Amino acid sequence: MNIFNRTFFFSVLVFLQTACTQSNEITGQETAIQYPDWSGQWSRIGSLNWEPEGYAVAGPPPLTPEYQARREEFQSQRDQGMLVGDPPANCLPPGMPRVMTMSFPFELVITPNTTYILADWESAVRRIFTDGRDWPDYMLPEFNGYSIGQWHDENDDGVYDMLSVETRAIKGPRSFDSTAVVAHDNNQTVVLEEFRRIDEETLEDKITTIDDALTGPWTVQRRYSHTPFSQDILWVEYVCAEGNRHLNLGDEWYFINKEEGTLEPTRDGQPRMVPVYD
Amino acid sequence: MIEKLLGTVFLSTLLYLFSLEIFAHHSVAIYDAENPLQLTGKVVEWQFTNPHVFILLSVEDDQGKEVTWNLEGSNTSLMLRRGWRPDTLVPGDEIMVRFNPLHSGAPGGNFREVFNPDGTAFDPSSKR
Repeated sequence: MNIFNRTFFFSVLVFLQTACTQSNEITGQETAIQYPDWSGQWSRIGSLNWEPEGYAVAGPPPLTPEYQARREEFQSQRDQGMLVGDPPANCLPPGMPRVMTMSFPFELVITPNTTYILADWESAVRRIFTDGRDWPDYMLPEFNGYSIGQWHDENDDGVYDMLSVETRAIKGPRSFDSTAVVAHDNNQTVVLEEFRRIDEETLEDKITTIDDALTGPWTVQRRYSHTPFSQDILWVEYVCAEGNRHLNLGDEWYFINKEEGTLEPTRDGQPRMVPVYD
Repeated sequence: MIEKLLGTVFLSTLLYLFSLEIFAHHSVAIYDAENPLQLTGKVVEWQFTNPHVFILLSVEDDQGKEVTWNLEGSNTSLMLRRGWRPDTLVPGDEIMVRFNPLHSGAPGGNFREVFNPDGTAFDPSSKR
């Protein structure tokens, strides 16, 4: 091998080594921390009250005097047969944070740029952007809001184990649950979450809600039990408009009698609505 | 391993079923839980829909007139897991239903349990 060839060979070797090193570094950077496997089905543990243990155990919701009075008024109207203070009663979606009570099971789909929460309840989809973006200049308010997340490796084992999420631009009206605990009319709610798989069987979402109907940030820890992926898992479509029978007109609530073509009263003394055609 | 897996699935399913309230979708305030009723009649229609399933039940009133009751039940997700299907009930089936009636007295309610006409428990899988 002459000097030229040796030099050329050495140059090629150095180039390849450098390229491989850079490639390894790039690959190393991309794969240094792995995403967790949270596949399968997750099912709610605990109450449908926003407090998973229920208000009887956890104590009353931390409402401002104005919204506590509103809750009591709603409850009084409910005793008469009206479905006030519970927007999903006539098919509005639960929105954030109530959707995380997860009436029905849900699935987590984790990709580097976005984590998707696919809920059977209302067939709701949450997109949590984890691509490093900042808040956009304008966010169209939506019931599930706009969510930006960040993965963390809390125990430094090379696998992400916590997803923190902030959600803004949440549309109303919304309630925390079906007990007439409603979010503030100004819809300035901000929700902070921390998802952790606290053991093989359990996912925890530590949810802190900041809302002007509350006396301060309200933190709950909702948990979900795991069913590993299998062909036996049931996912059930949910289309609320299909069979909804509850109608709110002005201050009145009615029960829709589709077969008779009438609106049936839900409270004492309320007239039955029968259509009259000219 | 298989036993462990099955145990996990069973436990998760059990936790799910026990943690589910009948009405996940909304409050049941329009129904009178203090004064439940029980009626026997013939199924006019079985609606396997969300947010809630419905039994339309034809019942003869005190004057001998047939009245159709709209009886709202749980949701398809929970009913499916309990063995119910869209064809579990067909028109003409005779059943007994225990339900919480509308406060207003209109012929509607929130059904809690379904029985055979003789009062024995109704088994949805018996129809398949």
